[in-house]
Amino acid sequence: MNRRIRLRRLEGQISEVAYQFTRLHFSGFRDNDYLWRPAVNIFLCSSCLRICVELAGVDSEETRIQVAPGWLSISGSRTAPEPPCGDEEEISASHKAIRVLAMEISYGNFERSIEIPPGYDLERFHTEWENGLLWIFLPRRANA
Amino acid sequence: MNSENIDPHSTKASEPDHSIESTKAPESAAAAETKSSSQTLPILPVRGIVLFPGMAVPLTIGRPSGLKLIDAELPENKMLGILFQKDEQQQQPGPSDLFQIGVSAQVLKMVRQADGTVVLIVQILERIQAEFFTQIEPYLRASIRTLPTVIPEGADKEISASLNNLRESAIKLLDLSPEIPEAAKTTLASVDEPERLTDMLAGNLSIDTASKQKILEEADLLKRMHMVQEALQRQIEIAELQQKLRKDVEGHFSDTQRRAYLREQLRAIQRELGEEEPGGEEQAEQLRKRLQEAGAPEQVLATAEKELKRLAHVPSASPEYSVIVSYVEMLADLPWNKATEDDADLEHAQQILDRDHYGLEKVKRRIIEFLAVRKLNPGGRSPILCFLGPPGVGKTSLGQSIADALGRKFSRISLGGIRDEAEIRGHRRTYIGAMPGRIIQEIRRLGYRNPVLMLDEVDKIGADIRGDPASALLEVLDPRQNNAFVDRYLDVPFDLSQVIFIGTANYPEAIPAPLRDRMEMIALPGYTEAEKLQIALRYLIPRQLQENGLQPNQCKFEEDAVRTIIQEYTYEAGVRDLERRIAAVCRSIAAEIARGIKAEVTATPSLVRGILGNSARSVREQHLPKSTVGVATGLAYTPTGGDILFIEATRYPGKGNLLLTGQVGDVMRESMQAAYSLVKSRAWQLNIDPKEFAETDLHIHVPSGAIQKDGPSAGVAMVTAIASLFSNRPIRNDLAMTGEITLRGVVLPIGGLKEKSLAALRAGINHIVIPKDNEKDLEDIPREARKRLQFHPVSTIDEALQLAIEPDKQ
Repeated sequence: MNRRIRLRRLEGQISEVAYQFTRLHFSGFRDNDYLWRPAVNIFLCSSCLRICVELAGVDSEETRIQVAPGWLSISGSRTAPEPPCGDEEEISASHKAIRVLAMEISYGNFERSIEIPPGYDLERFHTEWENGLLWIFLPRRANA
Repeated sequence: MNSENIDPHSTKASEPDHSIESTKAPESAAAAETKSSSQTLPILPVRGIVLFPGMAVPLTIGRPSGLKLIDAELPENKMLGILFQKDEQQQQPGPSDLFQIGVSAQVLKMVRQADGTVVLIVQILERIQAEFFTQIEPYLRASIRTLPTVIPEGADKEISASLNNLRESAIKLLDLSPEIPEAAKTTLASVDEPERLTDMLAGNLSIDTASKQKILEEADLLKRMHMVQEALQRQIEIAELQQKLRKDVEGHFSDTQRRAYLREQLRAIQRELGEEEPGGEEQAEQLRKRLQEAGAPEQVLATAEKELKRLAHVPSASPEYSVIVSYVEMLADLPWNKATEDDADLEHAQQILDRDHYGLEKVKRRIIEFLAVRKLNPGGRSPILCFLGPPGVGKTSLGQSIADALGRKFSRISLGGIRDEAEIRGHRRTYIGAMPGRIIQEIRRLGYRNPVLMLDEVDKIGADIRGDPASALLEVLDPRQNNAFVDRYLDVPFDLSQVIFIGTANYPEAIPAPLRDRMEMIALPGYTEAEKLQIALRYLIPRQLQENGLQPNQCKFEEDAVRTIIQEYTYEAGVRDLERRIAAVCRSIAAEIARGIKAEVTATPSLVRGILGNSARSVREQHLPKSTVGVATGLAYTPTGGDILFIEATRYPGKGNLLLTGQVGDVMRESMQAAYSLVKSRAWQLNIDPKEFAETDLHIHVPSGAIQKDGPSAGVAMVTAIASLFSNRPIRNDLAMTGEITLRGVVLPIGGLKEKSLAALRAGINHIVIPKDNEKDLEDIPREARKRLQFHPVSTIDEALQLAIEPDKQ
């Protein structure tokens, strides 16, 4: 009897160890640079591929689009969206932020890579900015 | 502090710095510059973890000082210093409670939770050292200095070797940990910078925070790499061991876990239904109370307490739990102190015995004596009675009557066919399904410690490899031992000395000798015809009328009708068959009454014959129609009472051989040889030519050939048969004989005279030759039988021959 209890207890300890083990190991394993990923919608049209990237508050000038065979990546950076603050004299005291209640919008550098299905011309894309959304059009390759 | 140093993005990206220090306006940039040059940062103490540069982690902040820090700082400043607590338990850490070396971090996101805590996602930037604290309340602020990593000069090769080692070890560790996503490996492979890889691994290893802090504080990159390598190595070892262990226990393990999970669910469902059994403690308490109430002795209480304590450690769903509970329940249920009050009125006892049993005067007298002794000396060791007799004579019901007379509980334990001594003494509790023995079980059921226990059929106890139940019974029946009878299941002594044990048996010879020695035999011989008649009229007929739904006025039995049944349809010492025949008659009558053919019926001999059909009696037991040469009538004692048996002798020319047949046992065989020798030795007295013995073969046969017979009591009959054959003088057919012989011709006494006499009477024989020494037993023979029988006591075989063999015609 005693032996059984001990065995059962040991078994419980083992499972606990196993659990801790799997949980802790590299749980937060990720690369050092925190790059946020903007959300995208992607559509297939008869003549083109449309990619919509959610990039509100991002300066279009600061956005870079790079292509590699089969891949398209968008990178850039977003300034933290926040009310004017600090020592700017023209800001009246009443508009200054005195407490942050939420800070959910990602800021800083971002990068998003998208796998492009074959048959689209990565060299001839064009972009449009519309209300904080970046639209990328990829035409279908002519010989395809 | 330079913003370039703080933000790793700024060094990589070509776009302008976006961190809080650098705003778009050049003026604020200058302000930030001043601020960082002051080199103070708000300090967030964290506990339980150590963070390394490069990590982006969520931090939950619940402590007031932390929340105040966020409220006050976040609107303008996303930079924090993070220092790690020395003691995790510390709720309000002051400067001295923190390690001096920590990290700087940038707040990436902040989310307020419903419970008032705040989750920060921070990017860890650099190692810092707090030089002195500039603010304590409401949150800490310290002047800090960044700690650059020192790369020892000329150690490039060593560093790149260490880097490779680290990466290899890390990948190996990842391979051993199945839960880690594949992406981790690509990440690992992609990091080339020694410092980053080292910090990344240090941050992700599952090592204790103290070691992590040491790694964090190590400025020398090479040393730091060695430390991480060491930690990795240990982790790999653990992981390998873990993997092996997991493989080993996986099957059994998951099964056990599943069971535990299901059990937990079951309990939750029971709780929901309100069917939950009382918890271990509660149940233990109830059992304790019951034990106290039962008046269990100290030793029992101590044993029970030991078990109850174990109960606390055993999960209630485990089988062990129920074993303990049923054991303690058994202890609590036993009547340690509870006894019925004895009814000491002997007159009342006599009345009850007379009410239930007709006749049996001698037995009743012995029982009354027994009760009287108990009355005068209640604590004394009374003998253990054993009722001996053929089936159906009322042994078991006498036990019931004794219990009734005493006002005690009665229970019957049938020992017939028991082979396992555990039936008596119980199984040890280590066995699955262990139970106490029958005696303890019966006492528990009756609820009193002084019942009358009838041990039925003690002569039919078996024995095999599992032990000898008869030996176990010795302990039970020995009045010197049974006051501390230890049932193996109970494992504590129970006092059986107040129990009245009564045994029953058909054959005394079959009772194991030591057991027989402990019991006082009381013989219940078969009933005579007159007794049977009375029993039928008083007990059997009323009972059968009731069972068949007949009113006494609807069905009456004539005495002659009952006698007819006894004489013509039954052949037994007891009254069981008689009762069955009466039942058959009653059923038949019940059928007629139920059909409405008749309103009332009186059973007459002819009616009985009509219902029961042809007489079941065999011809064999009737006396011979005429006197015959070479056939003597002997008397036998059988379990069903008595019987007559014929000894047939015949001769034919031969060489003096002796042939004995008829399923005779060894004793009877020797008895036949003795008889032959006796006749030879008395040839001259019997007028036999001795030459005849040499010239003829003798064959003695005892019908019926299929029935086993044994015993010496047919000796006289055999001598008579042989003598009759050789002297050619017939033997009287109205005479039966019994008695053992010796070679000197002395007739020795025999047993079962009453049964034998009654058998002779049933067979229509009027004269019986008995050994002289049996004369004293004649008083046992019912008077009516004595009236109809003529007994001829003889002391020598010559007297017997004189009586049995008809005179020589010549």
